[in-house]
Amino acid sequence: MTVVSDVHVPLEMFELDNGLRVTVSSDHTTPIVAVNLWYHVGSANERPGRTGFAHLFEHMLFQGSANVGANEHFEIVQRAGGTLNGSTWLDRTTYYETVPSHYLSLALWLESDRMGALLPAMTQEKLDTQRSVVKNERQWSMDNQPYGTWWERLPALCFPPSHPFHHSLIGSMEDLDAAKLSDVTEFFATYYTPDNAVLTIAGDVEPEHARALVEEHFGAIPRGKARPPLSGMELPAHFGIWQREVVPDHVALPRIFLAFRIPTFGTDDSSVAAVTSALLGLKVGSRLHRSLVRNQRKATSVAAFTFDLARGADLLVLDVTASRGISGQALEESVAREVDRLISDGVRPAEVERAIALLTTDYVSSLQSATSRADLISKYVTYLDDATRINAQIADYQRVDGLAVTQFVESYMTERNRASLLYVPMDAVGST
Amino acid sequence: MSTRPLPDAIRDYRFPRVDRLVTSNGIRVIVAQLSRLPVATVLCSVDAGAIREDVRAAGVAQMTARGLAEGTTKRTGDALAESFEALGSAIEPDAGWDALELRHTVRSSRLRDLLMLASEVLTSPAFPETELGRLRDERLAEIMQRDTDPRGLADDLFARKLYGPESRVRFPIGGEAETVKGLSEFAVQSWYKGMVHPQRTCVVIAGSVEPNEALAMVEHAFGSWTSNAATGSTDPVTTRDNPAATHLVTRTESVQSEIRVGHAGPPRTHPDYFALTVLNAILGGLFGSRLNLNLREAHGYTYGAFSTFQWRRDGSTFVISTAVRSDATLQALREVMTEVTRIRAEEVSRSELTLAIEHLQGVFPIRFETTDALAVALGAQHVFGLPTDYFDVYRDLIGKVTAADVLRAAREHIRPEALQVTVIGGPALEEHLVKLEHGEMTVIDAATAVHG
Repeated sequence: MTVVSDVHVPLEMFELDNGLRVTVSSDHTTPIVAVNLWYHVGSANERPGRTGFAHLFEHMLFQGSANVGANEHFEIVQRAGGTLNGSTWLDRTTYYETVPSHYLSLALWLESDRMGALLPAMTQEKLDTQRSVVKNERQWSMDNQPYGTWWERLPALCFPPSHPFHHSLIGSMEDLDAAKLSDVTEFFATYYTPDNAVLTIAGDVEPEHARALVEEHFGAIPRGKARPPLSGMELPAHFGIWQREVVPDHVALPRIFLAFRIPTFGTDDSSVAAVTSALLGLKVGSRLHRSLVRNQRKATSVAAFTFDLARGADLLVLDVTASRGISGQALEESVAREVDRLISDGVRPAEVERAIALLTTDYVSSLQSATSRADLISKYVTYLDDATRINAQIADYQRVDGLAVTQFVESYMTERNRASLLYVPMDAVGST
Repeated sequence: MSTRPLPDAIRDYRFPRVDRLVTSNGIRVIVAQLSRLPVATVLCSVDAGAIREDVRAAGVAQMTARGLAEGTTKRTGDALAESFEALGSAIEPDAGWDALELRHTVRSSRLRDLLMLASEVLTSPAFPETELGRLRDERLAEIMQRDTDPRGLADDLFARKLYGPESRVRFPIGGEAETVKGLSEFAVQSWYKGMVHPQRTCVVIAGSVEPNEALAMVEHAFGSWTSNAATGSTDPVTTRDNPAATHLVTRTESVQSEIRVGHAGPPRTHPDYFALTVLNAILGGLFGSRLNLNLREAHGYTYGAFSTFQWRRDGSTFVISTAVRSDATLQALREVMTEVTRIRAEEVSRSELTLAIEHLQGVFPIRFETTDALAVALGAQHVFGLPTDYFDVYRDLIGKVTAADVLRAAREHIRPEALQVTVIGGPALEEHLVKLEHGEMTVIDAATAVHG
């Protein structure tokens, strides 16, 4: 197989005295630039009784800072012709804006103002409004949505109660109600510091100019104090026994999330996991689609993905929805049988090549966008302290062969390392 | 540093050069070069979208599109999937209101092979009966899933209440259970034979490729495709909307109210398109829009509130969408009505106008960063019959919109007396929604609303 060498993302790395790690990736084909900031804090860092706080806090970062009014952040970026948002995950929180490149200084100033001087703008009223917005977000994305609770049920099933990834990212209504302004102050002081952040600038800018702007805007922000370490992150390599949860819900068709505990993001095995995941569940030529949708007609849709967790353990998840008339139990057995068959019969080289070809196209396609290049670089730096991984990923995929996949499935996809979250229609309970 | 930085000098952006060519058998070819990375996107767009269907056969365009993936006279569906995916791109044909489409992004070195496969799919489909049966079952399963999903239900029932019985747009693109069950192999074959011809086909290629080379590849792949079928084109039935009314669709398990408020709007080619685009950004398009700032940031009723014009070639649907906590449903609807009234009552402020215009102009290069986005934009330009210089003059035309234009467009195209209100929520809402006093009110159980 030819190793692709015609895709190369340029990288310039430096670190400020206050610990902010910065990567600049120049590309002048379009006059736009992406600014992307990852804070190495997520729901895992929440204290007991404050589930959902990391995400609620993300909302507060759009409520203004010392020199920016409430919601002005959005207005300034959109007026400049930019796009922006934030997102919270188990172990990181991301803020980003992509703007016409002559507005780079403005975008950096906005991020530096809230990193350096958020608290003067925080008020009880803003907290109460955002609490209400987030409670609506919870209802919209989970409670009022068929299968919506999988976002909190699957991590709860796959990580033990003492583990930082166990509890709900969006948070319980009670804990959201309990959040106080003093929590905002404390969380900000602890986690929103330059030495706990990674900044990437990708697009139409020269590295020297970007560096001067970063030093100008972020250089004076002081380093943080020691952060409390996440405790109990390490986990055994396998679940030990098949974990099962059946959820009767207001749904029309059974749907299973079959998860496997796998090595963390960035290890050699994580590229094998990506290929295995694609081989099983990416697009209509995948094993699960061909067998369960097209041939046996037991399923109507199939997907597979990894969580990309960089500490403790990662998860590979197969997500399969049943056809009409197929019970939850039959669905689980059918999916498990395909995994068993993969373990017992191995893979064909063409299947591995198919998976790699699809992953490669997706990866190269995503690199076209400054927003996603910047996000990917921040991810590699935050998790692996190594921006150059962005240029190694395609070769990492292409090194995966049938033997590696076979070894991977034998190690991580047997019965002792499975967790199934099975949704079944409320009406069908008792009859399955 | 506390002073807000000023921008540097603006840097020039030009929409990529576009070459328009025609193959010997009449296929339009549109090529735009974008050479950041060695990839290209191919979009085959056929004028065979759902809007031209008889509403009683709603879903045949989508089933025909999906059926294209189920095999050709040379390959089974499995073999076809394998051939595409070996090139790094999956086969996922689908239909929209105005076009049936195949879209693929591949590494440029595989463009030639990809076009050969795409041609095979479009020109010699097998439509095996057993696979069409499977696709019918899959669509019926999608409908079942939709029936338990408040968002999907709200979208689809809103359209059902809005448009009359002859209008195709009252049903979703994929059709409803009662129409899908009747879609036979014959119906799919007939749709294909009547609608899928070289003269109705446009191939867009965006990416790292020379225009002449691209034309040669399309000619090589599609040049021998002929069709002697008479064109099966039917003009869409003119869509009129029903008078103002309020519909509560009850779902006992709802913990939130899914709200849709809107009416029929003008077609995509209407000269007021630019004024309406600016209007919509101000009313509900941007994060800082009136609807979102009011319902989310001032009141905390919702995670988000927005408005949109869902453009089609023959018309549009104007719709305001939000999901609010149940006990705020009436207040939220009153705020929506207030904003609708206000946008028609007085000119938008200078600050609102410039925010919308500067955003739409500034974000223009970001919208066309990828080969996929560029191909989709050029495909839409073709489908809607927009002028060839459309993207070259877009920013100027947006910049010419005045506050008076927005007010005139609001008064002409936003019609409070025609607004249909659809709410999917708990049965207890009935006593509250009565107080809205917006047209006739109906209350119906979700299950009955769909299948009754």
